[in-house]
Amino acid sequence: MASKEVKAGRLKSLPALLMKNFWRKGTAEIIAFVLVLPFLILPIANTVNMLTDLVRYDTLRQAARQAVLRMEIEGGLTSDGLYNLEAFLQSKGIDLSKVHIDYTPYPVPYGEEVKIRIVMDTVMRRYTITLGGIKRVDENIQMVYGPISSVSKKYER
Amino acid sequence: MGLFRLSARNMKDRKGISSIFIALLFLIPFMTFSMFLIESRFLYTIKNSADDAVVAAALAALKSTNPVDIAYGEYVLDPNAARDTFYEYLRKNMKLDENMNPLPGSVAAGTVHVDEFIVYNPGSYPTFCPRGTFIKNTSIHVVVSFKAKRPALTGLFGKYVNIVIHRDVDNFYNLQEE
Repeated sequence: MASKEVKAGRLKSLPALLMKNFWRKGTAEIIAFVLVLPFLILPIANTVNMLTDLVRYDTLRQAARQAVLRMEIEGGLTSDGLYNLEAFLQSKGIDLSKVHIDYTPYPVPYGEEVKIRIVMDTVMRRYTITLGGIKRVDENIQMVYGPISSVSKKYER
Repeated sequence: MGLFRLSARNMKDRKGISSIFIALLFLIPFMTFSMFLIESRFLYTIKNSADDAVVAAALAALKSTNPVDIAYGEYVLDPNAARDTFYEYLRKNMKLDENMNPLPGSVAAGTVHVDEFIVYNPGSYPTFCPRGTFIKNTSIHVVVSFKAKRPALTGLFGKYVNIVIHRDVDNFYNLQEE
């Protein structure tokens, strides 16, 4: 049984109330904001992803740099050097199963070439706007640093 | 009243258009800043890669003709041999052809110039290199310059950026990043 207030029209049903409040002043602004929101999120997400890729590449670069300087002194990459190189990559959050290291192994005589190349399988993630909304695009790529080469200074009498 | 008619009526009064307009105005500097962030990091990585190439080439050039000298301290470098070795390894490390022009995969976007190449042998040090670094061992002073391609803000800052790398390398060279 409906109360007197409902009969008098002072109280309305919930959907009707919602519909009335939905089109209040300010709602259009909210809809506009929601429409524009993907355009704001997209540059943030893509910037973060691109910077992440660059940081990862820089980690490979640092690892190769450390390794080539060590190889130059020690005459090739020793097992200890390789262990340190892998530990460095691991400490930076890189999955070693996706990393392939080509290097000149120890021992290399004085004056001969030492070189290193680091390759990592990775996924490049980007976001684009399509008619269906924001779409994630994953691309499998190989990040390659090197080969970077120098000369062994290992001298033995 | 249908939802479409309701929304059409509300769109007609242009409420919300200011929000869209402000958001779009905000987007332009925001995206420019995002691109600037990525670009500066990208160019920094290019510079560091080239720096690695220069350091590795300079270390290669430090090989003395007599390894016994190097083992016992003071040693003399043949400037011409050092220069040839430096160029050979710089070409390899930076992926350059015989004329120092970039091959596919190189970080350089134009000819790489070796602006300064000085070998400091015993007798010529202690001294300061032309760029102010104190030289106290047999060393190689090298300045390399090249153009790198700007990836994004070409309209604002130009298509290319000049990168200059200066290093003074001796056999006591430590791992260091500028």
